[in-house]
Amino acid sequence: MTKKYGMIIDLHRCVGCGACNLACKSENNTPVGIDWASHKIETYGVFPKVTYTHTPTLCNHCEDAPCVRVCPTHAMHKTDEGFVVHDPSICIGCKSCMLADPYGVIHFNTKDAFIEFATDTSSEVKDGTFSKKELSDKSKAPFPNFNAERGAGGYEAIRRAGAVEKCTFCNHRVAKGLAPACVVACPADARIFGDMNDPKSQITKVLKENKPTILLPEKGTNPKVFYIGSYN
Amino acid sequence: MQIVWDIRVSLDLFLGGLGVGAFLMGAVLYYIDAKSYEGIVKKALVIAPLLVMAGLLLLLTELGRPLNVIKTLYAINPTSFMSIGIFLQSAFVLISLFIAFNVLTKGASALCAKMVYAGAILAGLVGLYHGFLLSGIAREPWNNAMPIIFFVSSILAGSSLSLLLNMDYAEDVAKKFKLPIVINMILTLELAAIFAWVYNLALTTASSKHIYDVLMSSFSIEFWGLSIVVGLIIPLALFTLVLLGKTTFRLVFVPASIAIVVGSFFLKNLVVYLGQMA
Repeated sequence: MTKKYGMIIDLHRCVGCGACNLACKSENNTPVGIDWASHKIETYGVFPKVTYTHTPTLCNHCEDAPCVRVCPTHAMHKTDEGFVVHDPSICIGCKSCMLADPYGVIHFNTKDAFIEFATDTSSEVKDGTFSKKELSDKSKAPFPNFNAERGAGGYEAIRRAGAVEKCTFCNHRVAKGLAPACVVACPADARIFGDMNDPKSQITKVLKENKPTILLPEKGTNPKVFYIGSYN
Repeated sequence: MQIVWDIRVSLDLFLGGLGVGAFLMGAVLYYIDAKSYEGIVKKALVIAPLLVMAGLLLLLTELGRPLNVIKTLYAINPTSFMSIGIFLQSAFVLISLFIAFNVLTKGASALCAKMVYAGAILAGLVGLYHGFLLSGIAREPWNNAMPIIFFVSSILAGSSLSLLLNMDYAEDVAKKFKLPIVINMILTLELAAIFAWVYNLALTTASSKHIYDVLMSSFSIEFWGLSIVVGLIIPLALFTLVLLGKTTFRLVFVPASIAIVVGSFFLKNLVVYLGQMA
């Protein structure tokens, strides 16, 4: 049977530490201002009866993805495993996907990411600290924490200007049998990732045992990121 | 709130609409009497591709990777209105450029009627596409009213511009085709479509009500002042005065036409920005 990957985020376990966000940035070489894994914070009620929620967010890899529907070149497309992924090589940068995406998880690169590590020769303390270019040269990488593995399968390891980018459920890791970086990094084991078509998988069992919720159910996109428990 | 599409998208929709409206005006007059309306047919059919191309060039500068546009010719997504629209606009530009070349070199009477017919169909489809481009993205204010609102606005603005460029013919055309009545009918249709759109926003869902509030507060001058009063009510009132015999077509024609063209831009620009506030 074809695999259908999904993710559960247990809000009761989540402590809101942001490790998922950082792990994602390291794994996927995302620049400042672009966070494939992020979170939204909401406060409800009237003092003293107020409620605070912290909800980790990422691309929902929807079954009926609006971003895939509107993309004029199929740059945004679904894989056989149900990942919604993007091919920058045929992206025209029209940003229709960003407008169609109800979750706000698609980002546009206005400039080449980490370009300052190739051009910036200024240092904080002259002859005392390295410039960004020196750091890049000495680490023999586009920038010091560069993860070359992100470029597997022809994907741009660092995305150039003019195209969009978003969470891929770490499809380059999943192809090697690994879980996405955010799942591995979570210190509270709040994230469960797996094949929802496999009745023996943990994700299938947990989905059965709980009443999962999804973001914006009224949009009818059939997300594959589910939430269980409550942050409070 | 993130503004993803800037004024260049609005200008593409506006200039493309002017081109489509001008072509349809030229095509109608060509079929009625190409010889008598040689001048207006010629100008309308020549400006049509130029306006559409100007809009498309502006749009290209808005794209992140404009050189990849060539890939839209083989990487086709049938569920994307933009993917379909690229073919429609390319076909329209090619046909209308061919027609423009012929009308300039051989005259309006020598045009191939079937070619003009094909161009008119494509003009209509491109005019509708401008609205479908937005409604296909399905953000709150970009609903199914868009194709009608945009197409009618394009017809009004494009035909007004064509007549403005042919002032000598305008009065004759107005008399022969009872233009004030025809324009007032189309203006009323546009007002009705906009009313239905706004009414729908005000009543449907919590998010549509939010957009209605944004429209009525942050965009009230652009909406009520520039799009409705300048673009539709003033021309409607001026042409009504002509119908009542209070003034002449010659006196009101220029200000009314300019108001229609200006209003069309502000209406389309407003809709493009409003959708991004959702």
